[in-house]
Amino acid sequence: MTEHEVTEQARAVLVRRLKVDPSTITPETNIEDLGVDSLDLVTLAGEFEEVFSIAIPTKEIMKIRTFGDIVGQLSSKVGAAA
Amino acid sequence: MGAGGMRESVVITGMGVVSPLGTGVDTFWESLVAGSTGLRAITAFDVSGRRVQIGAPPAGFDPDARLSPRDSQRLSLSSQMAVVAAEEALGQARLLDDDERRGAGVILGASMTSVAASEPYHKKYYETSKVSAVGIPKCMNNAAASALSIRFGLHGQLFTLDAACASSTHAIGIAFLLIQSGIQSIVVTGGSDATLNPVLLEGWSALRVLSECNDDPEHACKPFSRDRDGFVLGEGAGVLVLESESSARARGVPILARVLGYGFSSDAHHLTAPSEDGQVEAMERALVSAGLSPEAIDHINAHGTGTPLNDRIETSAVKKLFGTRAGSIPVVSIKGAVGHLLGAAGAVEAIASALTTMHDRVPPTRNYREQDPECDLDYVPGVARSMTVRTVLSNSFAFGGSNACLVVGKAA
Repeated sequence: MTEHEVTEQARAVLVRRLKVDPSTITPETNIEDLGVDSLDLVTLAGEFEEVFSIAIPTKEIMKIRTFGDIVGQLSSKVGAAA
Repeated sequence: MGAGGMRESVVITGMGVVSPLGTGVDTFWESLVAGSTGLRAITAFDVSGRRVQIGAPPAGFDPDARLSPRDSQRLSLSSQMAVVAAEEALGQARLLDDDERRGAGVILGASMTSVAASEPYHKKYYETSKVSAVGIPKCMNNAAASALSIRFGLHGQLFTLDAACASSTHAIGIAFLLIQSGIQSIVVTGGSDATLNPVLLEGWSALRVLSECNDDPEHACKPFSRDRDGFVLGEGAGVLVLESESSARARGVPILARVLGYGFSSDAHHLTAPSEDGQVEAMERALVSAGLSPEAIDHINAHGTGTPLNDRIETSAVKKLFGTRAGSIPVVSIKGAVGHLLGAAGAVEAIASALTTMHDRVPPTRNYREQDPECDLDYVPGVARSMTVRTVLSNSFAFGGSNACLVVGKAA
């Protein structure tokens, strides 16, 4: 899976869960600006784990600030799995 | 109201515990002050490959020795633990052979126990389209309270309240108010919860609030310690006999401790995130209810779940209310030893608070290792401390934003 594919799939999860316009989600977007609170964040983490068949450690979830952080974490895990 | 419209004083005349540290108040207390652990690797079901593999099931609990085969079938684990704890409490209050118990109420707290108990019935239904007739009466949240009423012949108030992790603290608080106002003279109160099952473990795990220290279960939950990473799901029951002082004196039974005040608040903020303001408000109201100033509190039995967020906010709330004195008040979380008993947590912690006043000994916060710059109070690390304890503030702060605090005081 390429980083572009990871980005698009991750963006699709956010759009589906948060009902936001996909064009508003860029690597620099702060997830709090998308309305993500602490409960959304752990819910999203669970969805990413299912969609990408990976495990995301809790400590790493707590470091997420931007959409770019999400893509970075997912890419490293998907890459490591490949 | 009592005679002359005066408020009744509310006393504790009986206590009973089923906990991960053992069954029976004496065993529980000895284990707690000794710094023993109730946290262990889960063996009741397969946890291999799971993010969280630790739990705190009840210890020394043998329901078959105490219950008839029919009761064992009809009562969920939560109800069975409540019966055993209540039998101990009523025995200590000398109510098992006293007709005075007829008018007593039963007010318990419970949280997810109904969901946990009903899971096998859901599973069987999806496999066979059948549900046993015992499923509903066994799994209803009021089943434990009903079991106490039926078994011991208690004809007063009978209900169960749910405020998540603050359930049994509110139950004791409501019992306190009913006795204080003269509506009931005796209430059997506390709580019971049994939620260690595969689905609920996964649900809590998904919320990322459980400790993931699977390679070291005994040290998994580390309240207020810098390296804390969450709580351990536990099961247990705590039952107290609350009574008006006049009733206890008329019956000639020893007064163990007192409930001096009950405070509450709603954060009106978030489903899972705590609020410092809400916690301060609940603690303040408990002090007002007890007619005490912050200076009069000797010890705090904290909610102290061991999650990074809870312990930081609770510390901050304590500092806000107690000011410069906060650092000299021993603040203890027993969840490092017993785990988080959810709907039973507040009851078992209220019992621990009463025992602290009875023995003038503060139990340690088990597994506290390292100071967090944001958690800088006296958490009584390592070993129990001997000191005069006249008053304890016992905190419960729940998901959903329901906060409840009790002030427990020395008998005399």
